[in-house]
Amino acid sequence: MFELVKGRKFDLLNAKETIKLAHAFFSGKELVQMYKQKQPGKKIVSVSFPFSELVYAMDAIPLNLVRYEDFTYKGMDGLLRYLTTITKTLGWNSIDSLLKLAYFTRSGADLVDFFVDNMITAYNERTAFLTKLAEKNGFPVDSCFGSRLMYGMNVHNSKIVDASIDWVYRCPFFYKYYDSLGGLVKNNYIVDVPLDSGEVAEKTLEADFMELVSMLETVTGNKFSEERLAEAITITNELKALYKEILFVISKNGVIPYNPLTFSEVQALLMFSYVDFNSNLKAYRSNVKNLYAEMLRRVDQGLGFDATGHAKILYMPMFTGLEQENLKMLARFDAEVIFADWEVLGMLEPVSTTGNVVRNFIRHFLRLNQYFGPSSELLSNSMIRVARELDVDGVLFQGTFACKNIGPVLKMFKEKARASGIPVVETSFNNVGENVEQNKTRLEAFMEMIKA
Amino acid sequence: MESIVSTPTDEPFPYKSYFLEKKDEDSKLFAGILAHEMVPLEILRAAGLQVVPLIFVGPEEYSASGGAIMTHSTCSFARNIVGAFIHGDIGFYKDIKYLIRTNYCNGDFIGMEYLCKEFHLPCIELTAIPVKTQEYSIAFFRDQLVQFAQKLGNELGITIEESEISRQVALHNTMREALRKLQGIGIRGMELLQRYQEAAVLEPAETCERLDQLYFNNEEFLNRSKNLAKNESNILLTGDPLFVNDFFATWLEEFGASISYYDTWIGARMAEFTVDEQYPDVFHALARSYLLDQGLDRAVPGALEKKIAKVESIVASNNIKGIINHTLKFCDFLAIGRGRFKEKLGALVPVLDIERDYAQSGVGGIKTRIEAFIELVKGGS
Repeated sequence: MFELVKGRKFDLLNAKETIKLAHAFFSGKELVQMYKQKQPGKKIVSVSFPFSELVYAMDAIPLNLVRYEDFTYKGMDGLLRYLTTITKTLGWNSIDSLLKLAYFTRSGADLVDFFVDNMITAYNERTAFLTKLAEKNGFPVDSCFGSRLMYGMNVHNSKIVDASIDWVYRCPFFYKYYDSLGGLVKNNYIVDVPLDSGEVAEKTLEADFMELVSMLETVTGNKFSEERLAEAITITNELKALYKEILFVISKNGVIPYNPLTFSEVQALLMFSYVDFNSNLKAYRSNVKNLYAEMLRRVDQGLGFDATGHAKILYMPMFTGLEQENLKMLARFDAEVIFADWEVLGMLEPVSTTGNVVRNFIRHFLRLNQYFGPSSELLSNSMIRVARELDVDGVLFQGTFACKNIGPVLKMFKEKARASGIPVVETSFNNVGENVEQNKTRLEAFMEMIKA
Repeated sequence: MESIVSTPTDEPFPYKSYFLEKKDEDSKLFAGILAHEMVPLEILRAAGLQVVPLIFVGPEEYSASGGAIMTHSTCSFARNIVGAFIHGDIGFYKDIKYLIRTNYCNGDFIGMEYLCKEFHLPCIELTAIPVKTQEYSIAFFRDQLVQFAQKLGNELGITIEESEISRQVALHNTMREALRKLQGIGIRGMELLQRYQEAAVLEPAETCERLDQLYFNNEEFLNRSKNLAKNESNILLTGDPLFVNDFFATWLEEFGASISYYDTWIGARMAEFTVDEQYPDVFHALARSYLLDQGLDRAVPGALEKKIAKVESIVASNNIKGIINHTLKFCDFLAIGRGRFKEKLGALVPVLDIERDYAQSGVGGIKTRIEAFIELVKGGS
């Protein structure tokens, strides 16, 4: 069991930034509608990977479409609206006091944990609906969860989108998926990132990128400016650095700022929210900055759970689908879970804002080829590097059904992990809630082995 | 080699002897290649390599063995090929000295990387084939082809002369022209398919020689061809190709579906383009042709709509009465859009949508579906 280092659980109710992170992610519909009300001319651009700097530079709203869903599980949508109203009136500082008042409700000191957990369940409930919706609309049942989910999001809500930006890396199936959005989304733009480096690759991507810029200029009616791109990149660089701090400082600490399940779920939220930076870059920066401070304060003061002697498990890849039951099982088996997909894929590397910013930005995309490019060898090396740097006790490799690109890296990764002395367990994932028992058996055996 | 090249049409082509002879007599180095639709074989042949297309499929066990490495939910064709290496039954695969790896599809991308690693084979990579067909994509692909030729040359310790690539381009263009003529001479079904499969393996001059001997300069055939099944219903097969040894090709024939048009990359698509021999930069000419005229199912945006338009045009110009849309399980390119394809083309002619792997089970169900489809086609003609 993870034990509190000192103090009471009551002290953990100072969690307004955690609540804010969840609120901003899950209130996407409400917030985007609010932005549109304030500035009706602003355009919405759908994004699916953490590359939304250009959308900010074009003064449009980037949106991870799943955020436009209604998360109705256990009335969470009502609670979110209630939070909006309260914070509009009393400000976010009132949340901690309210949380402490709520201590006297049935949830007591576990209120934040319940909230985060319910939100993740609400998310998964929605993803189940969206994948089914995709299938009903003719998207192949035996395609990977991620593509079905995103197709479903587009079937459901793409009408609100003015453009969509799709980045193609190493998975050929994924560009076919992106192409299939053509009939659903206006201005569906696929960026073909060359799986190579060097001058010709740079020129090619620059030409593609400028074509995208030109399309966005037409859609938004705004002129592209390198200064605005630099401004957005400056902020995302800060955010990437903060994410790395959370990964490499907080996760590795002997004290973790939440109970292990909540900690994994907060990390999941962080990962998801990096896709569109919750559609408001400055507000998001402030939230993540304060969230990091909130986490740091807790671990510095010992107001958290003692993680020493507990197994740390790196769960990857998670962007291909999140199985909440695995998190619950690992928490029951006394393990701390870490998600680091964006780090593994190199997406947290900073981009220089001096000199030719467009060129720097393009070089960043090409640099990702070292991780997400043509070589499974390099991708598995990156997985090993992150596992080592995080000093984890084991890796949960999520084998996602019909993932033809990252799934097959498992064999190579396993060999390298064995050589590095890192235990690996593979769980299978197709839809949320499937294979739970089978995964449980595997995880149980795996954790026993690690503990031994 | 002459006796092999002139193997009669009613005998299976002796691929094993063919490769044995290539190895023993010509002392050529073998280069295995999975998805060669986007790789100009002109460059490989200009390097003096013997191209070994990995298009020989085997039993279900191969796919299972391949799946153990690549996971069971990757392309059944690629799994089968990887499995064939593991089982080691296909003798000439053992003579392969190099593997060509591309980003054509996940099967190629992942499968070849594993094979190179597991079998300690040098991997010559062309892993940045663009998916778009813009001018900048063509320029990039040209550069990739130059690099590819350099990598090949370095590996073999030779310089690949552009003049030799140009000579190969001319030879391949002649072969494509010969293959185009196949469509109008009345052969169909397995016979037509086997010619395409052979053309994927044989060197261009050998293909031309073989087609001349079997058909174009064969008086007996020319006389016979006047009476060749002109009244049969024309059926088009599109989607994933039927590879060598795939029992499904025989099934189709047995169940009454004699294909008159193979709109696949081992099929009529091999011949649908001509590389510009007059263009001063041979790499640019190759890049343009291969990127614009091949990989129809791969290129974005708008691949599906382009395919629908193309098949509509084939249907109209070849008096097609029915279409079989053939998808191999977990194919990157053809899984998405099958419904829309059927809906659009189904408005013109009956469309049979088949998704399958190399399992022999389910023959009864497939037979029933094909028979019903043939009845529908015949009823409509």
